[in-house]
Amino acid sequence: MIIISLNSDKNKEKTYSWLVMLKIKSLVEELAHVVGADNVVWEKEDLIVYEYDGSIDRSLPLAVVLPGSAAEVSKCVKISNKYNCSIVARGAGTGLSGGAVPLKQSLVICLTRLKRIIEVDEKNRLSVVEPGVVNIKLSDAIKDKGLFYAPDPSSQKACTIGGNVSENAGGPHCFSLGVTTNHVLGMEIVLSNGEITWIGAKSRSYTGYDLRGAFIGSEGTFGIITKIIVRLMKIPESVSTILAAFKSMDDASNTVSEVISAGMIPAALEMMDRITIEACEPVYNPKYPKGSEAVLLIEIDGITESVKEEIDIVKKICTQNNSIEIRQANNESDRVKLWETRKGAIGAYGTIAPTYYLVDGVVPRTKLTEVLREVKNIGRKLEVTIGNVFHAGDGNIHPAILFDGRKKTEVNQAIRAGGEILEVCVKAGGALSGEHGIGTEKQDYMRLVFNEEDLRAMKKLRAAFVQTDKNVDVEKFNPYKIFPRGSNDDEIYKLNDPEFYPTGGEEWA
Amino acid sequence: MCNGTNINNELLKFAVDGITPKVIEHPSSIRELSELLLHCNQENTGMIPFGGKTRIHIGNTPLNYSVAVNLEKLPKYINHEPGDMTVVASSNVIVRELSEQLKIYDQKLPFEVEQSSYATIGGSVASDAEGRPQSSNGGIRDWIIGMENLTNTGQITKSGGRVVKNVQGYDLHKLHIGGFGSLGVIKDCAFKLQPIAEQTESIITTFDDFDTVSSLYMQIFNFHFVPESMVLSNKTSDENTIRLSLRLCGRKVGVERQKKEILNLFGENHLIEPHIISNDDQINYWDTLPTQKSELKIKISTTPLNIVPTIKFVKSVADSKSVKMRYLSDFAFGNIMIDFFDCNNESAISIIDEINSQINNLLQALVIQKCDTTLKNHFDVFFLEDSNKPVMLRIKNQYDPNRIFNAGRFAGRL
Ligand SMILES: Cc1cc2nc3c(=O)[nH]c(=O)nc-3n(C[C@@H](O)[C@H](O)[C@H](O)COP(=O)(O)OP(=O)(O)OC[C@H]3O[C@@H](n4cnc5c(N)ncnc54)[C@H](O)[C@@H]3O)c2cc1C
Ligand SMILES: Cc1cc2nc3c(=O)[nH]c(=O)nc-3n(C[C@H](O)[C@H](O)[C@H](O)COP(=O)(O)OP(=O)(O)OC[C@H]3O[C@@H](n4cnc5c(N)ncnc54)[C@H](O)[C@@H]3O)c2cc1C
Repeated sequence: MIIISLNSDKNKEKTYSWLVMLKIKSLVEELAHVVGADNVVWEKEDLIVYEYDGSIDRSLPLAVVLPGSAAEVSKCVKISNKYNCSIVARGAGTGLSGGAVPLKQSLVICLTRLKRIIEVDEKNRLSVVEPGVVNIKLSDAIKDKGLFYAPDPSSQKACTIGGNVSENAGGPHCFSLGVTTNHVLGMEIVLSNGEITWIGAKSRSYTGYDLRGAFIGSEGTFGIITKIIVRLMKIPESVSTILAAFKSMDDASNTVSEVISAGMIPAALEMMDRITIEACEPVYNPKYPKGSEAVLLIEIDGITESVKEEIDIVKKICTQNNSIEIRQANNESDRVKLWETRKGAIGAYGTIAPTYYLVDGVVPRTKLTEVLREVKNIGRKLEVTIGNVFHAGDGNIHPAILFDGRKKTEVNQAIRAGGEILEVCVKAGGALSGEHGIGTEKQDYMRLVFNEEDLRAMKKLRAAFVQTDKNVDVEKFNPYKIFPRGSNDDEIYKLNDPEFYPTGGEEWA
Repeated sequence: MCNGTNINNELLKFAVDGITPKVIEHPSSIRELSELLLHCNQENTGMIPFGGKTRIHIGNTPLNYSVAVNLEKLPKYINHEPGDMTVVASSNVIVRELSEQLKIYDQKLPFEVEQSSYATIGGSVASDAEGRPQSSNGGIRDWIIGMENLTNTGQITKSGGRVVKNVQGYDLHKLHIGGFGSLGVIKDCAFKLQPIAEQTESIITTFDDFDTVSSLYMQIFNFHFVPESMVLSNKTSDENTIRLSLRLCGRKVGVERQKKEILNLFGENHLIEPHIISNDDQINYWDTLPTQKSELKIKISTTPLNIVPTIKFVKSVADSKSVKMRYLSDFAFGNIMIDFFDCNNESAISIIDEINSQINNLLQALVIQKCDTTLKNHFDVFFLEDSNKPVMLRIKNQYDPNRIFNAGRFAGRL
């Protein structure tokens, strides 16, 4: 992710002809008729809030509508069809890959008013929620029933469950419990013709193709989610967390491998490197031992007796791998303290540089040591500072490239470094993204992993969901995302449309 | 192109619903298979890919079935990365072979399919085989991280990846899991693995009435732990005694604790002494648990709370027709497998009609897994919900416009 202020966004200067203005006016009036005038945003200065998410790209929407029910979403989609405009769904806009950035002057449908927890079925351990429910609010609401919702992205205080489903979000505790797709049973969706339908079900098996599974992680390109059936988990009886400091990254990485080889699946297994530690010291004052090159946060949960035994084994492995200090939290407040630096690490990078770009590659766990070394070399070669704070258990690295976004040369170097890191991940047998998605940020790297045939097969799936009739534009929802520009099907997918410019890419390439 | 065998006896072995193929192909390389698919597509020739043939009976009657494709001779491979806890296996690998390979490193596939000495990886994935211990582990869908497939034009496409976590492009492989080979041929699958637990023990107990069992298993479901497996069954179709089989696994101390709590609960309810088994006895017990086979088998999927009411309802329908039944339900996962015995077609149709009339699509799903071929003219064995039909049809049209893959057999007779 890059947080920079792009003042030169062409869209902002864009003025519409009077004919277009008339069309927009009429569209806005129709939308207002459905959702109420207060729930339509169309003045340029108000639209600026919706031109970006947590990524580099920016682009102004045509208008923004905030429906209050699935029926209203459906009506808005039907209205958009009359005006031939594409739609971008938006949750909290915390996405880090440009997913909610409205390219092609789309109409943004913002789901934040759909924030009801409709049903909590304690006995069957499931809940039906609207997509605008903020992730943490669900777990908060069911805590006193002894339940929680497992996927916990670090952004969980802000991001919505609808956004999580669209990105197939992960989080620190997804190592043992699985990612969003493992916890969503079904969804109510609105298709391109405005039809409201259910995919998946309250039961875990259903007949026909797994439409639910195919929809999850489709980054808003298939339709709009208006209700979600999620699985709930029982809060574990015991949780124990340790923090172990090491004098080398290799020692920390070996510890990760050995913990897993010992047949344990910790609830979380997170790592921070020296640069991250240095960024956190002045902010959270964790007082990590001098000379720490890496810190591991390992959490074990489950039945009390097992937790006690496993945490002892983990501590022994840490010691055998030359850990210089081990801290253990056995109560909630100590635990919160240990997690504080990990959860706040990304913000703390501000003590080193004003801007960060968070890469999201995944590598096989056994290749962590060599990949982290290569990341370091890339930093040295391109003269950029790179911090590392990541989900070590599942090999999901998050190198944070730290730079000054006001300096164009630094921005260029950051983007180059990000690209080179992704290449290293793919070469090691890994993936472009572990949880943030492709969006616009990584679309041009898709060919590192997929060939034209793979991409064509994926486009067919999009067409199957979107083309409720032959004339519907396949790019109706979230245009110009995921697929690399310049692919064979550009004609069909209109990727050469002059309107298409991920602004960041064009400005800074 | 490989040579087809057309000896009559051989053809009969590959008959589906009484329809024999014209030819059996045994491609020995991906290239041969690819050319075969391209040829079938160009000629509009329908084909059925065969794994271990243990679930080939599931599906509607085939349309346009000319070529049986036996995948046995294709290159077999298992790429296991113990340190990453992942494995990539070609579709013709036998599930049991794979399990044995993983066991060397104290790892396992987190799901378990029956008949694993015949069942192939491809067939199990394509038919989303319901394993027994899914209560806490989830199903095949939860553990596949990537896949390679052959398309109707013989091209190889991939989706997902080889690492435990990846979100890159669409999860196309989700369509092939439980797609019964209707969109392409699965070349290989990448799985996330689990360590084999230090200790596994099973507790088996019996009940005379559904009300007691229903309240007890809801209490167990609400413990801080969920047993790895929770199965409710009647021992045989001739018995009404209800049997609850629980499998506990984890660290030794953890299993002891789970056992203690469950036994306490049973004691409080004055149940007869439950039977506890461990080690090999237990493997044998779980392997033979589902053995009673019938000619009419259905699967109902529902929520945990609905399991007992559903079994009771089906039982009342079967009783009213004097038909015996055996049920086996994976409690937390919500699957109920029901076998009916001595059931003529007329009774079968009315039983299934009655069950189907009570199916609420958001709560339950019904599939006929095995039946007399004549019944397949009467029902779409998958009972697909109308609202999903258009998008499923569009998916089939995109990937198999000429209807060569398992034509007519999938949900909605696609
Ligand atoms: C009588 C009987 C009852 C059973 N009941 C149960 C049960 O209740 N629960 C349970 O879990 N298991 C059951 N099984 C076993 C089951 O686990 C299967 O063994 C296994 O899942 C299917 O594997 P297979 O290789 O035999 O597939 P096959 O039967 O050969 O094929 C199954 C389907 O997958 C397609 N297919 C096969 N390979 C591919 C491929 N590479 N690409 C695309 N499509 C492909 C076929 O065309 C077919 O539609 C039962 C088996 C038998 C014989
Ligand atoms: C500090 C920070 C830490 C983060 N940590 C993590 C982490 O640990 N794990 C992780 O996975 N992510 C993380 N993220 C990324 C981000 O929070 C997730 O991708 C999240 O799922 C996005 O949710 P949102 O509501 O903000 O969605 P948005 O950003 O608004 O949208 C994301 C995508 O979903 C689509 N969308 C949104 N709602 C709907 C809907 N109802 N129907 C259809 N499509 C929809 C949008 O079109 C867009 O493509 C982090 C972000 C930040 C800023």
